[in-house]
Amino acid sequence: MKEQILVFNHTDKQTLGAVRCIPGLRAAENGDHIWLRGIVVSEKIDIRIRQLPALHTYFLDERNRLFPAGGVTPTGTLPSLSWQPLTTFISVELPVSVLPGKFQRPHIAQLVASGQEKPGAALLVSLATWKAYAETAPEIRLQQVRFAVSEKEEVFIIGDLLPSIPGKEYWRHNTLLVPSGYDFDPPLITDIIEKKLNPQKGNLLVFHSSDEWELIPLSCFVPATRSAIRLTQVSHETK
Amino acid sequence: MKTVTLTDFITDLTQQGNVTVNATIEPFSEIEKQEACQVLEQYYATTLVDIPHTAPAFLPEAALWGAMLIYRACQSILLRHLTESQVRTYLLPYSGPPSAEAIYSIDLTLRFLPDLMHFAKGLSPDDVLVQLLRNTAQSWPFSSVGVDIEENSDHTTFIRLHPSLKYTYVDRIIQKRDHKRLTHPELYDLVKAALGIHADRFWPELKHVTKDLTHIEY
Repeated sequence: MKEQILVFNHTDKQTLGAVRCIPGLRAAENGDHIWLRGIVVSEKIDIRIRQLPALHTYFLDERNRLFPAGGVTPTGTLPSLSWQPLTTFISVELPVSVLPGKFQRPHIAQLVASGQEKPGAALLVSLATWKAYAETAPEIRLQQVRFAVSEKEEVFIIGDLLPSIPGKEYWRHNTLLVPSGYDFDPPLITDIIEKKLNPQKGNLLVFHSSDEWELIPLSCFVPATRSAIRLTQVSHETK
Repeated sequence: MKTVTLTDFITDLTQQGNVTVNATIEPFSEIEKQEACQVLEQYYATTLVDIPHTAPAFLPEAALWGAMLIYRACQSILLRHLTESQVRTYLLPYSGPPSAEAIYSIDLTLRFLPDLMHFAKGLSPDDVLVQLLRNTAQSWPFSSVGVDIEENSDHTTFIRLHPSLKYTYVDRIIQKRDHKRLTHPELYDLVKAALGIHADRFWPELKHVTKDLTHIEY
């Protein structure tokens, strides 16, 4: 006899949680009872197993016969059950807070000056500056960026290799654009802001240091070809 | 079979990049040439928005020469029964004086010369057609970036002195990574300026090219 078998009331299932992490244990449902096997009989059985509220304790021989503790005559055979590892049989559930905390007042996210240097990912320039640059800009540099023009004759240029022209630079966190030299307070709130204001991520969220922000649909940005820049200006001027 | 006019050829070449040519060589009529000039001028107008600065003026006779040369070159590649003298007759050099206007007008169709030479590479290097195409590439460096040629200082001067041609030439040199075209310190400096601090990303091999271009350091 090498293996011990324990039988429990189904109502005591939760007590098996105490031995859930002991390797080798397997359990199975059998009507109103739970059967536990995998307990190797040795001089010292884990005290957590010995403390379980078992209804019956059996010892199993090689022929799957069940012997009651101290008995020499088998009282039955091990039923054919669907045995599962105990870690699967009892899954982990997160506890529910009885008294969840509540924020008494909202936190105002704001842009503050930051000493952390971040690479520029967008540039806000005037249309005249952009046009002048495009007149002689190397094609390979134009190919690296996309742009969108506003009614205020401002051009937003995005890309990882921005042109070296005067303008206001922004750094990027996913779809958020923040003025260079600024960061959110607290910094980790950027993900929450993005989830709240731009859940579909189909826009660029541009924050200005003047506490204003705007949404620019990503579909507004077009490849920066010389003709696109020149024609954009023409259509803009005829509005 | 439908006759492919010079106008049809230019339209297909500039709009689709796929061309068809006649199986027999017939002289171009005056009407055909006039219509071709109109199509070339329309195409010239469409290119103006993409070229840096202001493009040189349209020169009809130069543009027409370029289009006819490309048409005849396509025919010469396909019609292998043509004799050497016939090919030489069809691919006569440009007779007008070189100028920025001629360079850009000819380039409207001659910009496809490197692609055409790619098609002709299956021919013998001694083939008269290959020799004539190489001569054309040599004569018109603005249109043949990517083709290995000797320096053509006359044309390079015209290119360098016209801002539109100069910056377009620099764009093409960068696009084709043709370091052998950096034959003048000004061109070398313009390429370096265009790439800026990102030269290693756009053109890593450029760091091995010296400014005097007398040799390549590896």
